[in-house]
Amino acid sequence: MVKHILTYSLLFIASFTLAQSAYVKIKTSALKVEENEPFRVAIESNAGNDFEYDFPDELLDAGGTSTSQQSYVDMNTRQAVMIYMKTSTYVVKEKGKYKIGPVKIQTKNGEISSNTIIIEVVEPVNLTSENPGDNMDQNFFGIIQQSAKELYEGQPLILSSKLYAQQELFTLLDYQSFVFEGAAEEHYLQAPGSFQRSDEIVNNKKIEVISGGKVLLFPEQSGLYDLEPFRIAFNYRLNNSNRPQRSIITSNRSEVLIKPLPDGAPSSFIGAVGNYKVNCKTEGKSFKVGDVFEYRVRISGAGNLHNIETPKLELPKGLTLYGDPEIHDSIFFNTRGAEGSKTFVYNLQVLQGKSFKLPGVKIAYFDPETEKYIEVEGDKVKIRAKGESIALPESKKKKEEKAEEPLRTILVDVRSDEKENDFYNSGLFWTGVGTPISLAFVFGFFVKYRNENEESIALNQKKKQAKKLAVDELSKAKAALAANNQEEFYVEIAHALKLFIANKRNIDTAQVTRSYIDTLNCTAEQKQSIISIFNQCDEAKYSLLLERENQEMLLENTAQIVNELNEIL
Amino acid sequence: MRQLLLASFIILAGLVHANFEQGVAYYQDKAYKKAINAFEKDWDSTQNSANLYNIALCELMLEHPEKALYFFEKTLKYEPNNTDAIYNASHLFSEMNEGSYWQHPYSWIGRFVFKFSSNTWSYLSIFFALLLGLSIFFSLQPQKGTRKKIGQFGIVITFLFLVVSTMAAKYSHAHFVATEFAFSPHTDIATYISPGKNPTEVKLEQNQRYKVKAQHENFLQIQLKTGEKVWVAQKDVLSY
Repeated sequence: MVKHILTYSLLFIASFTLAQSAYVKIKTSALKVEENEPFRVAIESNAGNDFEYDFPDELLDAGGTSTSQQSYVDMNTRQAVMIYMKTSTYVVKEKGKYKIGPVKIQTKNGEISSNTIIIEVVEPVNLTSENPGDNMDQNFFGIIQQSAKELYEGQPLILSSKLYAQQELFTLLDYQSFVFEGAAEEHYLQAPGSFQRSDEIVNNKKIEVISGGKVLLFPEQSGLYDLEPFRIAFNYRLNNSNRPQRSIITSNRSEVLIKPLPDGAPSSFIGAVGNYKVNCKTEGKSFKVGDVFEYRVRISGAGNLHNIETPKLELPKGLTLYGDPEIHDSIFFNTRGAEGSKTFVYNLQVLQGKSFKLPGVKIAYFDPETEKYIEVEGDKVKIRAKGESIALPESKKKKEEKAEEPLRTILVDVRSDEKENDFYNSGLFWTGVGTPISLAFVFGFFVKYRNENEESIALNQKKKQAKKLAVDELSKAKAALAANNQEEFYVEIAHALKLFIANKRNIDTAQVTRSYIDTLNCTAEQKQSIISIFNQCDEAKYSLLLERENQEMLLENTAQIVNELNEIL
Repeated sequence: MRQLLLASFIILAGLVHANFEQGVAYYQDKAYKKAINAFEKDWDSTQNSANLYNIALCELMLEHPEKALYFFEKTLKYEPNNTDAIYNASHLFSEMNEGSYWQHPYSWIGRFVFKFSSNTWSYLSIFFALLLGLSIFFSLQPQKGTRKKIGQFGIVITFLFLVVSTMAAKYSHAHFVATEFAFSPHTDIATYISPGKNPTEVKLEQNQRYKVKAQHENFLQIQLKTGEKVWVAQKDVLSY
């Protein structure tokens, strides 16, 4: 049951987590445009098409608005999702920065807002051309517009077409673009059929101008190249006639000189022409030896950014490059060439545990305006690594030296003893470890106990020995009796009894008196017997006639009382 | 009977030693494949790492650098401070992996521990156990004297040494018994999420060493540089 509840809860949470939430977002076709240059703004949402927005008044409609919608099935929720899009084309007549957005939309869960985008509008690049005033003898004439007559390799070349009309134009019918007679990379900045009308004053006469077909070129080789003319077909009204006339004109022919880059490029030159800056950073500051981390070098600017080479890294000792760098582009093509940023993500491996100062990557680019090579450098990055160092990369020189040294191929022809590894964890091992410790405790405590109880042990020993000693004495008495040595017999009897009591009570034999006998823990009869034995021994010292029978009885009584008292005392 | 047994032992020992000497002779005659066979036989019976180093040299002569690298590294399992094996492994790895640098399979502490056999560490443990026993015995004496102080101090020191040597014996034992690394001789090695089941699209890098995290029957679980773990069949890789 619990398992089912958990499963359904998980599915419920997952459906909410994975389901795409309502959104609205804005996208633009460019972030930097020229005055009067059309650009598209697209609004996209999955929450409906009732977009609420208030774009700046400076944004002028330049091509109408289109709406579309598309649907797809969200594989997470298994539900159909509708995407609404609204695309508009605008132009801005004055330079400046314009904030587009946010776009708002009302949903059942409340209002949601889009992102905002800042569009920078700049002055148009000045294009040069033949003087139109020289052609005023023609009703219609076309002139190729170009950003420069001379430029350097890698520098962008902007070309566009311009049709001057002194008669009223009806419609444009056909257009064939100019041709650059050389190898070049080409990017259309305007759709080939997209033209704008405007008025221009030429030789103090206001005439109609149709301009368009703007193209960005990156010539690939130096040299002098022709620009073949463009052709344009159109209808026009001749004088005040209502009937349109058809005409085709061919523009002027032009040329452009592509100069090679000057000598003396620094070693850090990466083929960049234009204007750039560098920014360096790492993902994190603290690492462990062996870690691979990302070192990001971002080069931003305008020119031939898309064609620049990978900058070289100069790494401190203890770091090594791991594989090739990944490259992330964010580039727009406009009248300044390729503009935006290019990020090189290097994977570096830490080989030493210490602090590193990564020198900022240095690059050189050619600035066509100053006609000089300029070096720029990213910020230094400090990182720290912990851990034991691993094999260090060798310097090129050392590596070359090493390459000359052959592998060590001297065979081992004498074996040393092999390593035995079967003893650990065996019974013998644990016995070997455990036994000394266990025995130490056993013997240690035993000795300690012995030392602490030495007196009581001696007393017990004495008590245990009391009977044996008494019996020994009685044996001596018996021997004295056999030898008819009267005096010694009684002395031994008395001594045997006194010695026995003294040993049992741990006292001196002199302390065994008749009064002490009274204190003994035995019966009155036994006390009387002991005293009687002592009396008989005393009396015998002063008696002349002693019967042998009485003596044997005394010996027997003494042995008996010793036996009896041995159990009690 | 005793003489018969002794004679059998001498003959057997001679035969075992003969494989190694035969291998050396084959190598000197440039019969490298035969030398490998002889060294392998000697390795099977003696587990002596000199055979591994010699096999690596034979593979090198046969222009099998990836196998030579594997055997040089395998030599280091048993002799982690073998400078010739270290030099050759480093050299070969750098040649085969441009821009990458060889790293010793074991840390400095591992190299110290694995330099000695598990048995050496075990005997050392027993020695320290004896010293600890003596220290305990002295410290339990009732008299207050130098001997007791030495005993108390000895308990601390010998206990520490006992723990260290026992741990070293344990890790050394595990090190020599377990499969610790797998080598990928090529990139077309099948990888799995479970041992032999659920194939993945993960491709192993050629001539790279992977740490073995677990073993299940004939499958090894290896850890990739990304931290991801996959299973490979032991027969597909060179493991040690």
